[in-house]
Amino acid sequence: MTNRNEKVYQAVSSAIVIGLTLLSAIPLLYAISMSLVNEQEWIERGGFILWPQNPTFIAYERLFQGTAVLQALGATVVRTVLGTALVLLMTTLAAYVLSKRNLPGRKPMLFFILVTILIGGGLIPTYLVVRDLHLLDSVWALILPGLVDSWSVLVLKQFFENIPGELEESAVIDGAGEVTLMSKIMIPMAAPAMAAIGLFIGVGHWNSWFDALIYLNDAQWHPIQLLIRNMFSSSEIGAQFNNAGQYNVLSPVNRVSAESLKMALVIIGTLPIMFVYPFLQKHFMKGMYMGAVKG
Amino acid sequence: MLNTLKKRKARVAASLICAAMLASACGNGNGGGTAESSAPSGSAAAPGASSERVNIELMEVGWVNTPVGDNDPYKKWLDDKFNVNFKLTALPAADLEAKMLTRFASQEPPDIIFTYDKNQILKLQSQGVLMEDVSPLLEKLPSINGALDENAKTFATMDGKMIAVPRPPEPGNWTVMVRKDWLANLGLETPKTNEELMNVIRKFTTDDPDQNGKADTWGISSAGGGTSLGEIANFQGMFGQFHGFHIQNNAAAHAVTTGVHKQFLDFVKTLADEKTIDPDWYTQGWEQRKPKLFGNKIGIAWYPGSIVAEHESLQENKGNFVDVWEAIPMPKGSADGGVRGPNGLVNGMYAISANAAKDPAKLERIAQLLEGVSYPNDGYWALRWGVGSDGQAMLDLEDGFKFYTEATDKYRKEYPGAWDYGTWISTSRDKVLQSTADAPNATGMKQLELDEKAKGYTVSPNFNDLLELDPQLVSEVAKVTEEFQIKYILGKETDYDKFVETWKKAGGQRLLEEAEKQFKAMNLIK
Repeated sequence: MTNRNEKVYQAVSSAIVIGLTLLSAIPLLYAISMSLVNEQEWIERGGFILWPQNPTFIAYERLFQGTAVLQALGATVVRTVLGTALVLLMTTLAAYVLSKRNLPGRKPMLFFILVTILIGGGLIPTYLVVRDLHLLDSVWALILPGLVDSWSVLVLKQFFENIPGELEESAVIDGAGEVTLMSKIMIPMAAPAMAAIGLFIGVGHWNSWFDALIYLNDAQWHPIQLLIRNMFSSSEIGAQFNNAGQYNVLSPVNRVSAESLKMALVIIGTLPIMFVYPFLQKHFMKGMYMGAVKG
Repeated sequence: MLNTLKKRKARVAASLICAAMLASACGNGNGGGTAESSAPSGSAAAPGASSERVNIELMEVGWVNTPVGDNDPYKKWLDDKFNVNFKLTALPAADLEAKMLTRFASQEPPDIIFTYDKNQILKLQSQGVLMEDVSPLLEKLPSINGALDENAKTFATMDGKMIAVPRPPEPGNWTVMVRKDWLANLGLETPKTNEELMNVIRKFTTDDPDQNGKADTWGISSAGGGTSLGEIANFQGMFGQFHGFHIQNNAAAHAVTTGVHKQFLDFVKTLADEKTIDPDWYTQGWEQRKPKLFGNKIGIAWYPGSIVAEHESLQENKGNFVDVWEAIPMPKGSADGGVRGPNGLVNGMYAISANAAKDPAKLERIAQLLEGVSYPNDGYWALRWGVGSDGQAMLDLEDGFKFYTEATDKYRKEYPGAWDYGTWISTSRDKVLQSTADAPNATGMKQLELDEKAKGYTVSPNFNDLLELDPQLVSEVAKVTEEFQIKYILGKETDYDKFVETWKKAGGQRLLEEAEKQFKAMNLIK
């Protein structure tokens, strides 16, 4: 009887979760589908399309004809890779050092880090600091202000503290210095937590646009999300991209609606970062809880 | 040996960290981040002249807001013509305030701000970071000054000082567009009253006006985007004035208190009850509605003359839909009705930063620039249409109209952000027909015809924009109204009198009293 109840419960839960998952997938499906239709199909099918009948990449062709989208994608990739690598480096260093209980001044240092989680300088003071460090109009303005993530430091610190002290002692006995200890023993053991944190940081960098809006007057380093935001607010996006190059052609088969262009932009801005998840999947769930559980 | 190796590794690691920290302190930006502190970049400047170049930055709400290329012919033209180092910063409206406030707070303001939002200028003015009174500057701008009326100047004036240079207002070219081929097919006349309009809408829905044998049409639609009634709100004009607070019978009034709003809601409620309005009218966005409108499903729309070009382009430009739309005046539903909403008193304003105003040479150059690029001067045609700056040309048409084709505009095809050089100066007074076609065609001429008709239809006077009302109260009252009106239309609320009381309590009464006070101060009410 218990087994039967259990099975019914599992079946109902699974049905609900699958239903919710499918519901959540509808907006993404809409975005993908709309990005693959031309204006002809958009008119004929009344505008809300979940499955294109005549898929075409015309929207993507139009977006990549100019240099703006590619330039923005390049800027975003540079920012994300550089930013993630540096944040992970600095965060790991800080967490490792702070995990040493015999570190002089450990408590005040931890306090200063904790305080930044609760209190920030605000937009204008931060802008003034970035400006006075001569970082404006540079990719470093997007990376350095967030170089040490306080929450990640705390998670990683906890993780390092959970590693048995005997491991360290035996490594020291074998002649390992601090750098070897950290690079050859501690970091490999912390790989799951670092993978999870790296993913959060990477996604955060990929999705950021407000800092670029404030710190970059020159559009050279504008990330893709800022470009998407600007294009979404443009009333001319349809006219621009249906009048590119030789496409003065007026047939709706060779034209693309503003809605399709916008959805194609959404996919361009989303897909690259989504491809990162499968590679880090095995570390992700493990790393999520590693730093939180003691013992 | 092991110790030596360890020491070497430690030194290498320390060097790398120091290098990273050094690199982090040195950006490749220009440090100051403003035109003021950056070196002039104009390569065309003669060595002697480069020291005279003035850095001028303009920040605006753009149409496109995407980057322009390095070989920007519009910047080059501006730099050479006015001996400046011009920088254009175009932003979406939602982002302008954050960027602007950051720049002002960090003492690196742009020199000129172009915005449609007076509240943004008032905010900066109250901080003392804008030129206090631009009236002396206006005297050096005859092209702008000559096109301004007293209301426009009053709009830009506070406490006797002009806070920004107003841009001359635009005559509105939006009006009621009706499918005249459907009217002809059903033997109907152009509707002139609200009842005739309701009858036409009903027949458009039920009597197969496109004669395709299917019941697939609606009389009217809207595009509320899920947050408002959309452009159908303009049909309040059938019953009287509806733009904010206005003057009626020598007193401050509002459509909610005069009954105009209720009459309009009852009209739309009837459309919803009888299902003669497109069922997605409230939820769909502007772009999402287009397949229906230009797929021959909707018979009446609130649109400008470009409805013809859009319809044709979505129907393969075979010329079949050039002459199906007619621009008609707003039908009359009352003695005071039959009006379109008022035109804006101004079409944006140019504010000058206090920093720029302190420098007489820069201020003089700003005046030359603004005058030089304003219609009808050469700079206008250069920036707005690329004539003289990017090799574009105009074709003269009848009655002073001109034709511009995008077909030859290679730079702006590749860098659409360059259109934003024209955003801050554009005006329909230039009478330019813009088209993707190589030559003027029937579509373009029809568009011109409909726009000119629309401009001639009666508009209500604009009293509301003369007022300085508490934006928070205005927003609260608008929110209460939006929430109520959709419920009323759908039948979920029926007590309009109760809504009027709620509206008054939410701030409507205080706003009415304030409006009355201000109208009296302006001698508009005796």
